[in-house]
Amino acid sequence: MEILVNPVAFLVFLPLAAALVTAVLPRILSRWVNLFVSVSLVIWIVILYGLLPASFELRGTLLMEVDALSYFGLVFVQILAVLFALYILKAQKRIISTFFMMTLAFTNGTLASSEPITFIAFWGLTGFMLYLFGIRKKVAGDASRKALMISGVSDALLIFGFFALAGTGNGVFSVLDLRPEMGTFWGGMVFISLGLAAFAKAGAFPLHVWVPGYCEKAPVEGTFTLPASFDKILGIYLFTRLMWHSNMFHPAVGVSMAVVGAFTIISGVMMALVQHDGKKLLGYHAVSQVGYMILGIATGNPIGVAGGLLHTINNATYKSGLFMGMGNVEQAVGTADLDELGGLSKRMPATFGGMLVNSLSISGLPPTNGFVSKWLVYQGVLIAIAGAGTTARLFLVTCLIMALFGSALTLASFMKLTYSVFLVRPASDKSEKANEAHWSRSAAVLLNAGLCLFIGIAWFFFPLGLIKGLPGLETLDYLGTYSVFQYLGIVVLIAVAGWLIFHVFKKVRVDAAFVGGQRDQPSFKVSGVGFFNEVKKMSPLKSIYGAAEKGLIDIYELTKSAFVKIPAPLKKLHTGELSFYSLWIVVGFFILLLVMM
Amino acid sequence: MIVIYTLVFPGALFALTVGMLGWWLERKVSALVQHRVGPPWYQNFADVFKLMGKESIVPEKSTVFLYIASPVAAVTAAISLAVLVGMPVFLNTNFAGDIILIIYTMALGSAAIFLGAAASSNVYAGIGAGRELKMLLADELVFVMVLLVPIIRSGFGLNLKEIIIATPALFSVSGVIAYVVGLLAIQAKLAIQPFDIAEAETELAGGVEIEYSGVLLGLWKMTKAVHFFVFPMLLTVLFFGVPSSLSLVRYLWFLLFYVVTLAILIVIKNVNPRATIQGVLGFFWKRLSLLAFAAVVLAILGV
Repeated sequence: MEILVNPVAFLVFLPLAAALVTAVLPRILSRWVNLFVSVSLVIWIVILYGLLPASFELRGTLLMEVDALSYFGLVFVQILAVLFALYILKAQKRIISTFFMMTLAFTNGTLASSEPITFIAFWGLTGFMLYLFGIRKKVAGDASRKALMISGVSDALLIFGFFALAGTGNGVFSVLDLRPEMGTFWGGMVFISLGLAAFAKAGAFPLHVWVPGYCEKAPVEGTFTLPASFDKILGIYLFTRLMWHSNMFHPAVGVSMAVVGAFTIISGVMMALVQHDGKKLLGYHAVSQVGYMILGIATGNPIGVAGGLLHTINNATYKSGLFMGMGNVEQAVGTADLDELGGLSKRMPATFGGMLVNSLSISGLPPTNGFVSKWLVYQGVLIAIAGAGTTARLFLVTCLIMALFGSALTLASFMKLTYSVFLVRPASDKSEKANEAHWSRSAAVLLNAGLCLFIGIAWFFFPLGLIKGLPGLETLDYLGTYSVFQYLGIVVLIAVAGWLIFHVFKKVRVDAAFVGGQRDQPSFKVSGVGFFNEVKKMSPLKSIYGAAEKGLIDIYELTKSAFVKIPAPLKKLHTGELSFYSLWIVVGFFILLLVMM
Repeated sequence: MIVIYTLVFPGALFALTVGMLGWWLERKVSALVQHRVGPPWYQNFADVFKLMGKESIVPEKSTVFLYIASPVAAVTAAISLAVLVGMPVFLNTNFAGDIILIIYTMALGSAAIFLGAAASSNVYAGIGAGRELKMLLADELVFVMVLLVPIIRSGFGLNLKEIIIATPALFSVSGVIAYVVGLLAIQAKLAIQPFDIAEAETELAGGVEIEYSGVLLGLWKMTKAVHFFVFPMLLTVLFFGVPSSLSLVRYLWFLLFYVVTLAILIVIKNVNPRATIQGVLGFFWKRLSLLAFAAVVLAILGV
């Protein structure tokens, strides 16, 4: 009974109950149950703020505990869940609604758990949901298996890390307070295994390899729920918990994590730049953005950590919006292949508007939310540089350059996407005659874009107010200045003045265009897909892209082929002849004898 | 006050005036180099004024809203930059944001130019739009490294006001290298020869702005004029600095070095033919970025 009345356990219980209900109710009702439950959870999470710190005990064992960091994660999971529930109102299969509620329950469970075994269980279940969503589509079979394998690796690392942590003198510990004994061998092992577990979940280098393929093939409902948002929140949540005490041990720990972050940014975005499939392109950006979060948290100073955390929820917002928009496009045209899209700005104006704002947010353009978190992360890195020795400075400044440049690459990549999907002339009949998505789906994308702008403007109060509730982050020392209201004042004044100039002097005539002295032909067009062919063909990038296409940089593919190749010589020993096997038995017996003697 | 800062000084009116004069200087000198008389000083004002009275033809296949909104957004980004950079330089006060905001407002301008070109649904504009993105990729890597040098040398601050009154970055080896590389990056940001690839008048007939006419083309011209003010100004104050007190000397100091920077840019423009896009990417990524990185490393080492 305690589960039903406890305020923390309710966060898990309600969506789980809803999942059961949606599985049996008629389809038309079950959709609305999702939305109703998500909205209730938002109200619940607001009420929970007054009850903090809240916990849940079962027969005397403390299973769940919500502190400021877990509360921060939970708030955004519930807010995003409302948008997701709105989007899947029109899901084609009822099972999607059930899966979504299960995912929500498990994500809440992970964020609220303080007891390690409970945490591992919920963590593993969210990974399994990834697989369940994926296999809904036949083409996504391989990608889902890959995702499941890597989540399995993540679970295994987590279990190993927790056991090692318990075994090295910590005994019973709480997930809310991870303190690996850095400097000892086992402390280092704990740090590495938990760090890699977090990276696999969030999709950071080198365990990011499941993300792009999964995003390309799996149903979009699974993609925007897990790899685009909840997985990022969970992965970065664990990483933050891990770094909280480890970072103070030695500056090299922070610097090496920062290098991983910066490398993730650049490698992800460079791959995104040359993609032909819209969803895969977004998948690579889902990898790239994790780099900023890791970079911010790795700096270890309050402003960098605040930036990293803010970036996590910002990314969850715009990235899920982008996937939703791409889902609308895919549903309308039947493909997400950029070669076959185009001209949708007029056919799908709501999706276009929403995706454009989300694209500008992910590129970090002011006054959106993406700018604010990047601004904080850069300051964190600069503060870290100022306080570091010369070698660390050189590494960190390189990270900063990569992060700043990565942002320009992101902008270029999203402008290519906008052009190819919405602005270039339609490449197919289907694209020419596409219709706007169902109101719930386009409203979800627009609301998402609205949330990006809202956080971009109100960031100082919300969510930074929540982040400042974390111990050690109460005061942030800014290196620079950014007043969103002054900036908006400037921008609005000039834009209004510009608009007035246009209105006063406008003499507009809409007419057919002439190109090269003849009437414009539909065939006169430039595909956006090839915008960055020059980059692709440039040495040494050409060979890197070539290797990536063959899977030579994919740790999963490499391991897979190693599993095939390494035992290959052993196969020669399996001839199937009895005499051969008896020989092995004798040789084995002889070795045993030698060892025993 | 914000209305005055934005619309009069150092914003719209001031930035447009100085920018058009700077642009005129470029046109005049280029004409003299080519043994032409060149335009009178008010030519740019007259050009924009005339465009205001002309008809704006909107191509029927274009995305109309974006086609009209993009030039407005571009001029907004350009004048915002003038305010963000101008306030610390001319009024000795930080306003609205720091150097990171300046970098991203520049990116906002690039995005507006791209979207305007993409919305016009013209084959040449499409080529121009793609090139605009590649130019952004080419110069941005170098540009952020150039900006980091004065930031590092002034003690890791991000506020422009403090950076420009510190010891000028040019008084160091790293500063000299960064300034030279920065000149080329600014040349690319201004999209003048040898980097006028996105507009390429003779090949693409204006590229990104090919379909624009009337008041909308006027807005593009205004954007370009403000760029002639802002980009060289940013480079000038970052590397030459300004005297710390707000006096006539400060304004004259700024004017002198602004003209010096502009003059170098004009010389580079007149002695170089247009580069190819592969050439520019290779030049910026493989050569200049190494130089710029060397400057950053030297700045870290305090040289």
